[in-house]
Amino acid sequence: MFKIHKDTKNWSKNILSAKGSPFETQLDLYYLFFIVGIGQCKSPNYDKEKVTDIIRNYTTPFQAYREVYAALLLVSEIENSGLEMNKELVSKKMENILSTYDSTILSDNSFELMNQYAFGGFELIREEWPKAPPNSHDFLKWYYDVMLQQCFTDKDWK
Amino acid sequence: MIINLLGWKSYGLRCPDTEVAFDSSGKTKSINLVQMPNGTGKSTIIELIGAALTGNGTEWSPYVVKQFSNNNDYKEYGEFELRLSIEMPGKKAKNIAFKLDFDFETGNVLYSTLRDPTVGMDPGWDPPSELRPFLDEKCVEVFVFKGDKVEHLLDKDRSDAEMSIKAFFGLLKLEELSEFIEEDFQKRSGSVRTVSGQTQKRKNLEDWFTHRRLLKEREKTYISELKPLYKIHDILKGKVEKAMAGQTRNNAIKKELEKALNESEVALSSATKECFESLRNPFFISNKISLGMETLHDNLEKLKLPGTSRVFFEELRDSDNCICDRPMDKAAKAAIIKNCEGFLSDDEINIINGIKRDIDKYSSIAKSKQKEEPFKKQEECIKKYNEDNQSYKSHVAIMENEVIDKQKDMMDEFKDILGKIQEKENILKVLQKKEGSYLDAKKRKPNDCRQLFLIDKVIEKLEEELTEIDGTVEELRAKNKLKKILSDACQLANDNLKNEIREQCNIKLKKIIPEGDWLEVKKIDNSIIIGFGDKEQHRGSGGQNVAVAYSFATTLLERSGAEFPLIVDHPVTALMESARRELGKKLAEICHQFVGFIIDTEKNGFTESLKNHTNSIQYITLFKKIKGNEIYLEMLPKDKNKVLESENGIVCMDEVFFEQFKDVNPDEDI
Repeated sequence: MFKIHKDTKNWSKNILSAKGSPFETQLDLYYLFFIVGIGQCKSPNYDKEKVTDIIRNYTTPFQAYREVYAALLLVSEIENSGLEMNKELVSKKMENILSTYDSTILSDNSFELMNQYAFGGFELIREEWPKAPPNSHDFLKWYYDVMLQQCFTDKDWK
Repeated sequence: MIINLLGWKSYGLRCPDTEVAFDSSGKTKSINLVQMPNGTGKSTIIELIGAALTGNGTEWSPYVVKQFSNNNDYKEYGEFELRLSIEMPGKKAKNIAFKLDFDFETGNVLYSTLRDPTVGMDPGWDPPSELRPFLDEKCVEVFVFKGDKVEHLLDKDRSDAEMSIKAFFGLLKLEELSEFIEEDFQKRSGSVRTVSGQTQKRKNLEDWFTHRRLLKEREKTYISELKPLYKIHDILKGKVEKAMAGQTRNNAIKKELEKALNESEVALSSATKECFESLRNPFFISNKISLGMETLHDNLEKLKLPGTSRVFFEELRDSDNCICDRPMDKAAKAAIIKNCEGFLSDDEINIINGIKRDIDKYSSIAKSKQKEEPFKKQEECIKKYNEDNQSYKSHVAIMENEVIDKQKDMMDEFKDILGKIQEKENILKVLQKKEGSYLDAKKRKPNDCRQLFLIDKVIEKLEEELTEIDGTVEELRAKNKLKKILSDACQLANDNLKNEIREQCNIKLKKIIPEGDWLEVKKIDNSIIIGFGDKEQHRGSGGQNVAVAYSFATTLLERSGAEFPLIVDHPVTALMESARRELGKKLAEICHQFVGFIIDTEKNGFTESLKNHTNSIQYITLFKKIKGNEIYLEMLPKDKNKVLESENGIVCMDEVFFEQFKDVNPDEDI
């Protein structure tokens, strides 16, 4: 189950499902938070009271990328382990990350991990943008120009 | 008597400081076209021409006077001088001038008149005696056509047509004389010694007289109070209409800006969606992500993860023979069971293959495109959207400011004036109502009667009763007879004049209006009634209405023996091009001097037609020296004799310039 920070609802009131906004579902925002979390290696253990369920599966626009997101999670986990990539490590991580029983190909552990990244990512974004962004286009521009640049030039992403 | 307009001079007023001369070539032309862009002060100049001719500027309230000041370059004083020539049969033409001196600080206007150039200006408005009877406000309105004049002549609810006839032919004077006779009789009968026994009747009559005087005084007061109110009403009405037109224009601009904003909003929305779509693919997010993924892909290849499905070994385990035909013994089966754990299931293989395939696929997609492209496009869209949004908001703010700061005050003022006019008109309507039974009125007290018509009837009856007793019955009969003669004469003259003017009008109309468009003046009541055959019609087309109004005005002028110039604001604005051409053909025949104040868009069809039918045309273009009008300066002719320049205005008397002139900055008229 994908879970999102409860504060997202109020924070995203101007950009989620607003006129002309590309963000149609909470998973759209969840994804942006997740990427930031991945970029900054922020996967804090959160208080379960602070998150809320959003959806069990990927929405259609994300469905086509499910293998890539799983790979991204895999890469991130391997990179973050600090170990050299080898057969055993990859097998182990794949076992931990992937699931043949879920249409998302994600294991329960992966869901938890992604939720943690998304939670961490939201908190990072909120530090920069404490009040609700006024519109989706300015927010997305900032996200791309500032936030992503900041995330992926950081030393944590190897 | 032929009166020609020679020109005017203005200084410190809403219109530019200029001198316009229709006699610059030594002689006035039949057709004089004064082209002025909107906002240059056409209405102001026509108002001033009217005021110079009638002398009624002294009746203006300070508010009205101050309306003539130049808001952009305020001066405490202003001047307007109108020059005319008067030609009497067999005599040399003489020039006269009326000058208005405005004091904007006090809101006063002082007149002076030039009747003899060797003596100079004399104080006051003092036209020559032969001209004076025609310079009544109602007469001047006949040949100085302001905005709604054409409509007013045909408006059944107005009596402009009848009042013009009465004014031009002195019938109003007969009505005044009748009133004077009544007042005189009342004064004299009041001084007749009271005969015993008649005290009560006399007292009653005196009460009716007193009440009549009071109501007459009230009527006079309301009429005189209404005059300046009408003036303010006319000024404000023009402004309100122009403000409304401005608002319509602003609304059209707002709509265009709104459309542009909506379009850029849609473009921005689409560009933002494209950006987000691109971010769904992690390879677009960062090169580092791409690198990590590609490394994983390579490693998946290098690690040579088992390429055979676990299912194969599970099936082999359960077989009797191995794939190499050797029998499967227990040891072999145990070894297979132990080692097949290291192989992947079909599903796992599919997932891994899917990962490798999609890394290839989305990496290729990302490589085939510039990842910054959608965001560059979005940046342009944001810029355009912000510009459009700013333009829209600024325009709306300007509109709101205009409405709030100026138009709202003006509308309130206009409503206030309308209310005051309505109130006074309602009272006058009651005072002047001519119906009801005087017998009923006679039974009541004088104070209970508000209709002068009934009061007059009651007085007439009471007078008859009293004069029979005190022996003045002969005087009363003589007075009534005289009044009846005057009234009958006035009515007869009015009817005959209306009939004659109607016939003359129709002769003129036949010349002006093309056959297929024919209509005639059916009768003249309070207003001009037009129609065709047996049918009367409320209104004609724009061209027909103008033709009727011009025919009426010129007929009146000719019939009065005084030929005045026809001075018209926007002479063809309501006319289709074909009607303009028809009018252009005949205009020089209608009157001896025509002065038309036009804007550039009125030239189409009209000037060309005029030029084809007369050589006697004076072309004048007048514009302000303000920002935005620089383009006109470059177009001015090299011949400096054709250009007059002042501090804030230019007068050009060149035909080519006139024809080429196009208003580049249309704005509201003033």
